Amino acid sequence: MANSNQRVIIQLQNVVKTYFTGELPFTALDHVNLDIRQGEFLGITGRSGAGKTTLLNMISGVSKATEGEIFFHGAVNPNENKPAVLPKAGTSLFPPWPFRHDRLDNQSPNAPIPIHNMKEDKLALWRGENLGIVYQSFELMPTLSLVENVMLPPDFSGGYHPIISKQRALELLELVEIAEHAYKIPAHISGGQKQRVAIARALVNDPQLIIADEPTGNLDSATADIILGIFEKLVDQGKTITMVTHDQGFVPRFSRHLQIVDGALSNPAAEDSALAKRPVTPLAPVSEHKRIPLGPVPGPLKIQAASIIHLQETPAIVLRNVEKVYENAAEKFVALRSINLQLNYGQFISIVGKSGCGKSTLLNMITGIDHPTAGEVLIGNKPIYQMSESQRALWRGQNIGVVFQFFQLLPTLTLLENAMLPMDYCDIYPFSERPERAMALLEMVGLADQARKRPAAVSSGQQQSAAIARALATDPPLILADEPTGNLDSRAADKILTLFENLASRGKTVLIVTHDPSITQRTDQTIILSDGKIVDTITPHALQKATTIRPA
Amino acid sequence: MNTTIKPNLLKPRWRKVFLDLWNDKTRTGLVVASITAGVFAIGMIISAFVILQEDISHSYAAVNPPNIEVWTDPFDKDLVRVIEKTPGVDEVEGRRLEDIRARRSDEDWQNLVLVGLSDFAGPISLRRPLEGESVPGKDEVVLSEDRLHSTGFHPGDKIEVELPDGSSHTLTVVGLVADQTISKPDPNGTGLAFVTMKTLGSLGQASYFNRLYATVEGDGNDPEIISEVADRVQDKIEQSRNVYRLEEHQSDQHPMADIVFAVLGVLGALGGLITILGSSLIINTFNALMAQQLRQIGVMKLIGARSVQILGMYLTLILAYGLIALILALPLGAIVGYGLAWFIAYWVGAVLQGFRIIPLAVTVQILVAILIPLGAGFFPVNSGAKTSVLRAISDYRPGRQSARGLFHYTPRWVKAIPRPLLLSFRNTFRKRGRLLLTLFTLTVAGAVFIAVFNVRDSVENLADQLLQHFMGDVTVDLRQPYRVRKIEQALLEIPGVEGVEGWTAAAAEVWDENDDPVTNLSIIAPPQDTQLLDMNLTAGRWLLPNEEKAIVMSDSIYQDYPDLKIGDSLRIKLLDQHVEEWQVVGIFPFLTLFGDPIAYANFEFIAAKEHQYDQAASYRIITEAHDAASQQALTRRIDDYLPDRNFMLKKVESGHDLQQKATVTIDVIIIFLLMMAILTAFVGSLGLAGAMSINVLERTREIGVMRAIGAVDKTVMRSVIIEALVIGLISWILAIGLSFPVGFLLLRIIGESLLDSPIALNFTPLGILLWLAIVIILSVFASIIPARNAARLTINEVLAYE
Repeated sequence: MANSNQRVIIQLQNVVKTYFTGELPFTALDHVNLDIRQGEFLGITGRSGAGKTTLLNMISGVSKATEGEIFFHGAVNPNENKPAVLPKAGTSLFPPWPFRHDRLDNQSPNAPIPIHNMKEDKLALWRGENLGIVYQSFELMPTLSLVENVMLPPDFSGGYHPIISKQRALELLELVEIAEHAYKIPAHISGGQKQRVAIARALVNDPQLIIADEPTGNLDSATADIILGIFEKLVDQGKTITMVTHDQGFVPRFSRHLQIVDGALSNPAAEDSALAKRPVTPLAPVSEHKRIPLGPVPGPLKIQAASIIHLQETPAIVLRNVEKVYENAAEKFVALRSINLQLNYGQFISIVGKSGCGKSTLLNMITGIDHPTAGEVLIGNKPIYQMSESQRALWRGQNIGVVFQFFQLLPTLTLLENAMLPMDYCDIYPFSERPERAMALLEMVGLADQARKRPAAVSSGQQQSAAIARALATDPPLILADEPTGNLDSRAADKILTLFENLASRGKTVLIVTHDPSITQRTDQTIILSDGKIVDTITPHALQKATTIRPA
Repeated sequence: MNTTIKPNLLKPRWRKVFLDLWNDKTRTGLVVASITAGVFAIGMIISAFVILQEDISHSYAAVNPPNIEVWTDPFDKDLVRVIEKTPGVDEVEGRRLEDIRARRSDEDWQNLVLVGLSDFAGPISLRRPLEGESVPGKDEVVLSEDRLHSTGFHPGDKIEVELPDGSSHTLTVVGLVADQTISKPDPNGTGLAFVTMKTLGSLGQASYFNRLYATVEGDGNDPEIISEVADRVQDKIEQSRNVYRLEEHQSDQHPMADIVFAVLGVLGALGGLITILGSSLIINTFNALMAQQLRQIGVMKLIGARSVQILGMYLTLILAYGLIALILALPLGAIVGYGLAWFIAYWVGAVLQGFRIIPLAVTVQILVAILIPLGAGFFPVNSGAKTSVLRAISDYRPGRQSARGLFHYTPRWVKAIPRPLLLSFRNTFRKRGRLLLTLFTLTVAGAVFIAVFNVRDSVENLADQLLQHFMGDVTVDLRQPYRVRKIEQALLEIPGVEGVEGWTAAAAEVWDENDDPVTNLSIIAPPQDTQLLDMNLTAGRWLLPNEEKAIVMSDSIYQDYPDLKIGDSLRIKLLDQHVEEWQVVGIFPFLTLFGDPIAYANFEFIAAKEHQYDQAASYRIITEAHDAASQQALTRRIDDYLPDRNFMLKKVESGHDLQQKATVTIDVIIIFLLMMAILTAFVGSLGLAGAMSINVLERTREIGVMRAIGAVDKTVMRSVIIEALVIGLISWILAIGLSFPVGFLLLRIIGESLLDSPIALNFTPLGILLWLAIVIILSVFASIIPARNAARLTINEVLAYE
């Protein structure tokens, strides 16, 4: 474990990062001071948009600071922390790098290297030799085998040797316990395995520091635990790791924990950390939240009230023993395990769970986007997997409005045209009425003024509102949304959730998938998913809601 | 680790390059094919050019062609011996040439030139045996054969020959030979039938010669030496005889060489064009590839790669495409190039020295295969390699675009267009750089294609224009002049004949002030009211009735009299008559290629000059039906009818047959041009297919979204196909416009280098309509595979791209 006597590797001094892309400048990092010391496992936690990734980008030199300085302190003795850290691998694991530091402006090994004003190519070289980077999305070269992926950094930094490099890569793969798959390509291994390879790759040039950006973000909890274990093992062996995550659950495993809130770093108090360890925020009663009434309903925008009342005799969504198993050359991965679910019309339902728990897979089963391995899916009493893919596309267009995390508006069409598109595809409503109806929907989501703009010309929140308008175009009884607020700031997210609430109040069934537990405060029912299973269904007001179908 | 480690011979980054090449076989295939097409075309043309350049001269010189050819009065071996002693003359040979007709049993007559040789081992104008014997015995005949002159007779055939005196005999064909000296363009070009002088005797012909061939001592390629010797030979002959015509030839100048190299020059230019067009696909592909792999580039930079290393990787990929293309194009270019050379050699009767690799072709191919792709791919690759890590790993995605732009203007009427259609239209204009390159490729390809058809039409129109000087719908030549009225009456009795015109002709020379002949001149004299000439005079007017000593000259006279103007006088000497001053009243376009100038004069005037008042030996018939079959049928009827009426018939020829013979050269040129046009179209289609597959790949997610909001397979496919069709149709419209300058250019090259005359551009809708059909089929096919793939993707896969 590191202590304050340990040597500082990275030093951030008064670092400010301001983005000038939007209408107003946005400060992502606000006068950050940080020393990263040798041998520590530094964990930085914060919510989405708090500035975690920006901070890592500063350290890696990927993004330039608006103000402040960042220094890298090279090892006094290049081999100071070498063979001993990985005793198993022997001395060949970390051969002295004769080129280390030599090419960085001929500075003496002891002089701090200013990262903040280094040129791109020098930075690349410096990163290759001193920094190991692990990303949430693994970022392996898809065409290369695992061992080749690990050999890539020495190839770029000039230390490649056909036998030594391969031997080292294999040893590192063994260290992260994936040597048996060394000659497979990334597509043939699981996410957790990919992340191990990424860690091996990060270690290959024996870097001074390993930085990891949400390394467990795409992994299930068991796998995430293994990755953290590897990190801990590396730290025990003398490596320095800085990891950013939104998951407070990892806090106890860091040797030092910092919190980042709105671009500012702080050392959280002990009681805060204890609170943060709770995995799921308790649900607040729905009644606490007030629905925002919709404005007057425009003429052509008619909700099929009668049909919905009729439909309530049958459940909206029924899943019976649904299983989904993904298979590849490496493994069988069970994404969903005998899911049984019945949801009624007119509800606002959320599916929550950590990344990789099967939420999106479950949603894909309901939208008909993916096939279940076993079981039955009935939407409005219709077994949707008895249709062909193409038939299902048409059915989906007519019966389900899908809202995506990344909005997915077609960039060449205006918002109005985007909203008209499903009507064209499904041939619903007379041609001449479609513009009027689309306009009414955009008005409903507050975008009447922006209707003739293209997606790129409006904000993310507005794009998501337009996507909801599009999802409503064919007046489907079901609205399904996958992390609809994942890419939005809190104000925009609030607006979108209000929209969903209103839709539910007008008889639509709204089902959203989210990893943000706070959203569940506003839904009628919450399904908690963990490792492919429904572990809990919280329906505090289920009875009350089921009887409260309010036609528009 | 206990196991022995196999060393990785290929560094990981080079392995990534290799796998990028290997894994995406569609991309590799398209890029390699488009480079290969250009490199192949260039290699083929250079190989053919060099081989022909070396071999045609070699082959022609090997037959010892005559440097001097003299048409004169009958002579015997004494004159040959006299000429042999003339200073500067090397070898001399006398030949007897007669126009005959020949046929196999009841087939149609064919015109041939009977050539009597006293010595088949004779030194001049050697013949190359093709089939059977090369030296005929008594009553046997050996025929010349090449692409331009094919009789269809084979050794063993008995053929009936009709001599100028009307007598008919049977000869046995014993062999086929190639005679390169006859393979020149000639509107009346006929094959040769070689017999011994003995056979001539047995056919009742006197054993004299009427054509003298001579070679010069020293450099037979020096026109000055040839000219000097020719003057001496002419003087010598004219001491005892008339010289009707004298031609001078260089030993290494194959009569068809100029045409062949002009054709190859045009093809070479198109080959270069194909290479340039092919590079547009490389630019598009690498622009797209760099966008697709931007994140990978960012990651490589994050783990230590510098821009120059990334640049090296992608340039290596380009180089690899070039090398694969080279490996394919080198042998293909060499083999097809030799094939092309062989075909052209066969066409002109020359012999190649055998297959060989042409170093120049290989060098140029290597340079083109490496430099053109590198040049085309450098800018996209360089800009990709220099992208900052932040931009590379941030959420940047290809296919995203700014909110501004020309095509973002949305007029009100757009409401009336269904959104799926609107989406296709807008998608077409989404990547403007790519669209422009694709349009450029496809437009140029289309323009060349359409232009080739217009060129064909123009050249055929020119041929028609030219042939009217030599033929009617059916042309009847008699062995002696008859009263025009008599023949008219006789011919009009034959069913199918609508009109008859008696034409006469006279051989003449144009003399200069010093009484030296300048050029031979063929004077043609049609009746005043002829319906068979439809000439656009370039200057002056047509002949007036009863106008004497007035001529309408072909523009080929400008070669000798560049400053000749309407109203000027020329000193004309008709055969066996005195020199007279005749006035030039009009000029019409003609081809200098066909040799001596021709001129029109009044029928009555020439008939009087030739003392054949109201008589003619040549009759041109206007037929009721103009198709080939009825013309041929009429030919046969005339053939039977006139001899029955005791008219001495020399030959009857249908216009169609003559036209076909005369346009064989043109057709071959057009076929070559079309081949290149098709190759260009192929490259254009690769460009479109490449662009469409890139478009679809980049829009995979959008296609998934379309599916998610209700688009069925058919809709997705239609959307992609419409996009390709829009590109195809835009390029089609542009290609029509561009085809005019391209046509002008091609005609200029063909006209100036091939025919020494400008050719007027004709326009035919055929090429345009054909290209429209091709573009539609091309667009559908170029997009159908990417569209099908797009439609097949499940949304799940699509969203996995996130």
